[in-house]
Amino acid sequence: MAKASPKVGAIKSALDMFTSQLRTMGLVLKHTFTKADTVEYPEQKPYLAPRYRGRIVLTRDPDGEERCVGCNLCAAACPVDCIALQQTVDDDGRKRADFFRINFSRCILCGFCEEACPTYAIQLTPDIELAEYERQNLVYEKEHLLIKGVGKYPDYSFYRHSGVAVDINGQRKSKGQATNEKPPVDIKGLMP
Amino acid sequence: MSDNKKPAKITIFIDDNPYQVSADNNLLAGVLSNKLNLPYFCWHPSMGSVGACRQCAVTQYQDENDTRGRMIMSCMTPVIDGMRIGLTDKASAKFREQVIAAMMTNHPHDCPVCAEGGECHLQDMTVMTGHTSRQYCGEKRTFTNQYLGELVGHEMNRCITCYRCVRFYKDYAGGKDFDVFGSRNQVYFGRQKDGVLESPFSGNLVEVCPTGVFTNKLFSAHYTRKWDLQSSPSICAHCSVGCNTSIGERYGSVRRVMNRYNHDLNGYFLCDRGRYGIGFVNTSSRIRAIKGIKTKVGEPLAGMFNEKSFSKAMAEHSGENFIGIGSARASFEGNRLLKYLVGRENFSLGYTNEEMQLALRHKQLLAQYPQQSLAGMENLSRRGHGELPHDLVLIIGENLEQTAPRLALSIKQVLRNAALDKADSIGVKHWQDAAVRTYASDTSTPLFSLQTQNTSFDDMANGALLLSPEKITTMVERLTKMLHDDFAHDTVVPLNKQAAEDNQVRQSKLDKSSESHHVDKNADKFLLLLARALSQASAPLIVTGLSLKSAALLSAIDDLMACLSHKSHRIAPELTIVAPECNSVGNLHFLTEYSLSIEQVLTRLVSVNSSKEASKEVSQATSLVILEQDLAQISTEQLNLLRSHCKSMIVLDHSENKLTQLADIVLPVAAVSESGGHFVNYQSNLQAFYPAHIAIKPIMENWQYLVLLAKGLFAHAEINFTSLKQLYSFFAKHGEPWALQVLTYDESKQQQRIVRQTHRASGRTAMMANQSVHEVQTYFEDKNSKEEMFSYSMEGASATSNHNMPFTWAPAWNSNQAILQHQQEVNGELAHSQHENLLNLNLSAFFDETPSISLSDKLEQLWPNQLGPNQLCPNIAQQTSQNHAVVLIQNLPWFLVEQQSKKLPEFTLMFTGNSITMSTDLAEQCGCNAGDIAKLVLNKQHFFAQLNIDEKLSDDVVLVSVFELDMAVNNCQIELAQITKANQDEAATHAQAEKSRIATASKEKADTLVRLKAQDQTIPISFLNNEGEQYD
Repeated sequence: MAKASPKVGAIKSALDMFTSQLRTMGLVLKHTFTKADTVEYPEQKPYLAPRYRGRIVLTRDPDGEERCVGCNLCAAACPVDCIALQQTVDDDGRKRADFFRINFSRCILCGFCEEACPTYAIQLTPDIELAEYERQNLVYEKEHLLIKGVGKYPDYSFYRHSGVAVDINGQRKSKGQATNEKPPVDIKGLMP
Repeated sequence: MSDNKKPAKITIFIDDNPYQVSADNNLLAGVLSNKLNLPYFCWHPSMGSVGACRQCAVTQYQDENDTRGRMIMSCMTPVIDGMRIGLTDKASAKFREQVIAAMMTNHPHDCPVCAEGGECHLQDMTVMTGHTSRQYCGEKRTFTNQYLGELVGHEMNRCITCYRCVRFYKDYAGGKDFDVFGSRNQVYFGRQKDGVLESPFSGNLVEVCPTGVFTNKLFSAHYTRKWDLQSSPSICAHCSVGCNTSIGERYGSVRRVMNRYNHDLNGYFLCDRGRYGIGFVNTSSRIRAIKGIKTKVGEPLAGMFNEKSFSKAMAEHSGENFIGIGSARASFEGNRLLKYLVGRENFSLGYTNEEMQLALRHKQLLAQYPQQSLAGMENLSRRGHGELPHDLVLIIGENLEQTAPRLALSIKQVLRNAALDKADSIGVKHWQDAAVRTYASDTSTPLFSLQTQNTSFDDMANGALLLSPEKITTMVERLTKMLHDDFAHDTVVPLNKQAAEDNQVRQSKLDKSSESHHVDKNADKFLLLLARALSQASAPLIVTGLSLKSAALLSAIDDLMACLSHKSHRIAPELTIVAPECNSVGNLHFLTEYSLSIEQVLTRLVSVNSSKEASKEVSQATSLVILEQDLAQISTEQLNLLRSHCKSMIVLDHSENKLTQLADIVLPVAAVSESGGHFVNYQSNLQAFYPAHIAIKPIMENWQYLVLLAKGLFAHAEINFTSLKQLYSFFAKHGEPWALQVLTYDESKQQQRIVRQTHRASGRTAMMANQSVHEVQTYFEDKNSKEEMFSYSMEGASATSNHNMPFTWAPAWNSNQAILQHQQEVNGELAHSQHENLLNLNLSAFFDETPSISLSDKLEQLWPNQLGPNQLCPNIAQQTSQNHAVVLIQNLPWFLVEQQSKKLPEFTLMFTGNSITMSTDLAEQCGCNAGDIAKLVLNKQHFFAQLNIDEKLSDDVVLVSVFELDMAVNNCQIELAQITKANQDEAATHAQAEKSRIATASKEKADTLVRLKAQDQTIPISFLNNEGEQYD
């Protein structure tokens, strides 16, 4: 590139300075008449998509039963180890969490637990307001986590697909009664 | 196989890379030995190949130029030098993936609720083959499940028909009540109908099954994933074999026991007593608080532990003289420390005079005959070393399935030696499981058994006799005499040339020798057969034990062994002695001429403490310190005598028993899952166990309490250990070789502590958050734990960096099959090889100093057994007129034999009820019929049991299987009159008692679960201040 003479350079930069100031003033003037991007947060809530990763909940299946079977996959997936639970087997054959605890003071809302969950039980919600004055209040037990609804997956019921015998709506779902199952084999039958 | 060389390694080419594999095993084992990932299901390292699952397909190439190759099943293919196979080629990889796809068509959508998830071989193999999504959309085949008892759960839908379960249960372990039914796609593995699995090895189905068809019911009830378990290497405390186990803990409670591979000992299998017995640590019979010590305010020291007030309370007793009673279920260290504290003249092992004599005989035999390991017995190493396989087994007076089930499983494998040899003779290798079993169908190594009761070996035996203990001794003596004469005259004739005249010669000899004995013809025939078999055997295995408590039997066996090993260089006899408890052999180390028997303790107490009252001496009061001992063999009268004559009684134990009821002070010590130390197994091998978690104070390890007592009671200022390592150094400085051994072994280890938790362990920041969101330093991370080998953490050296692996895991291998990745080669030693730490049992005091007196005389002088040779439980059976004397033999099932595991409610639920078994003649004399309720009066105690009749039983033996009667009471003479028919009221009470026992056990089972669940949420936290002292 050929070198410009110092005189020409000085004139160019002075011109640039002038146009830049004009442009800035023009932009400020323009924004005076455009709609603000910020919102008055506590009074005005922003729209968060249904799949936004906020507070974690435990959902129920369409029959109103707890979806969580206490399989521990969420706890294993959790990078900050903030989920602890204990599985228990109830008389209806269903496995449930005896206790289920999330320490939200540790949770980073990464959503790995939701990805790991094989029953769609654990789901992240668009609720992001998790501030507390007391840290201890950020420890959520099962009673705080369990909601009444099905969350993002309205139809799925794990036990209707699983091969184990459990009660569904008070009725026994025995062997061979799950989705895509043949009736139990008669092992004493002689037919080939 | 009989050439004495290690089988040569040959070179094969896998994907054009050369690998060394053992020529004696199949291709799959060779591939896995080189730590290559090749999926498989039906093959099992210990059970061999059947080629049922088609999963381990690889491509074999003719030569370097062959690009096409052909598919072979690697588990069914012997290795040939220079063979070329492809593991990663497209054809075989696709084939393996499609095999999984086929298995998955019927596999249910169960993983989240399956107890196998996370350690499932099927999951591993599915991932390994790359079969990531289900292709099949049709209907799945289903099965109904069976109830298989309290221990094993059944979920047949998950089955992939690999046949491993039935091969283990039926073929390997000799179980009869489990089989495979049906055909084609409807093959069913289970029992003929619902019912409790009878085999004491049924728990292995859980580990053998590659998926979740069989699950550990106790574990499933209070479940956690394998990756969340905090595990530690431990030693089974429920018999003298000392199987290596891995105890898993979560949220402060023990969840399960898994097998821990030990090449020499338990290999891949455990018995159910070892697997499930650990549950006793969670029952309500555990002692969780100090009893008998008052603080200033007058409150008992419950739940809390304050060292100062403890020492103060102890100081009250410091003027007393103490006699220490150790035990065979306490750790070696505990016993050693107690003996040091009280002094050798004041130390007792808790044995009666009779048991002292027995123990000494045991010690003598152990010193003379090194005990084979289980692997040595099974001759797994026959493929490696050149030891002769056993060609005859003789079991004398020990019901192995009752006292040492894992040993019984090994003996069952020893009996296959003949079949393996027969197959070998036509070139069928040992790993061709189905072929060996087909070709050598019922060929079995000769087995002879001399027993007091029916055992599971009876129907496999070439000769089995049921006799009273006394007659067994006589038989052994006669056998020795016959063999002695035989060898002297060198009339050994090979079995296939049995001549009639030879028979007659022997017969005449027998006639002569049997003049003095009245033994029927059966016995003669048996002896003749046995003597001939023994004289032809080149490596007989003789198995006996101490459960009959007959010193005479042991000395007769000593003579037999002497005769066998002395007379012929062709014979290399091996003797195996089953000890009664997990550390019985360790106790033999402390057995000296100064050791006190219970009778001597009693005498001392009575003389000192009553004379004290007379002469008003102040300082001579004698008290007892009792370490994990329940003195089950002595009668209530003796126990009361003991109690009334000792000034104070301090008992250290982990569970409630008779002694803890009587004691002034009870100190709760940690059970095996919470403590560290060593047990010495039947081979006198010192094996270390480590705590899976720290007990909640005031429960502390036995040595910790003894250290506190040393300060408070014994004024031993030098005893101030804060870790076991310091204890070892202390005793090493005192010149004790075992401590030196342990220390040098410890020091060779790496500096970093080994993890107890997996790298995937979860919940660290949430499990205690309900109590405090501040992540407190937990109490177990104090400065003392720095000296330990294992850390309570996921951080540290890898779990597999030592042979004491807390758990087994390898990348891509989450199931227990990961062990193959840590063996030098399949079925070989671990990569970090174990070493035997044999305890040197010193006998000098008994043999060298006074050679003029015979051993039995010396024993009689030391521990006089005035009551005669067979009065093993003296005060329980006091006067017996010889006319109607019968011998009481314990016939308890395997799950009720051992003191600690007996406390498991599930085991109680498995018990079918008290029973007494006798012959028809005896029953007639008692006036009872089969099915009647009989009343047994022992030492003023009444026991009720259903009477069974067994024709085969000897006329002087009564088999007793009574829940309330401890195994320690065995082989004692009773009068037949002590057994009578119970009247109607008594029978009704008995029926009620049986029912209430079941009800109590069911309640205990439910209560335990409730308690454990509550405990899950109250993990003990205590804060540490700067000095590392606790405050709450």
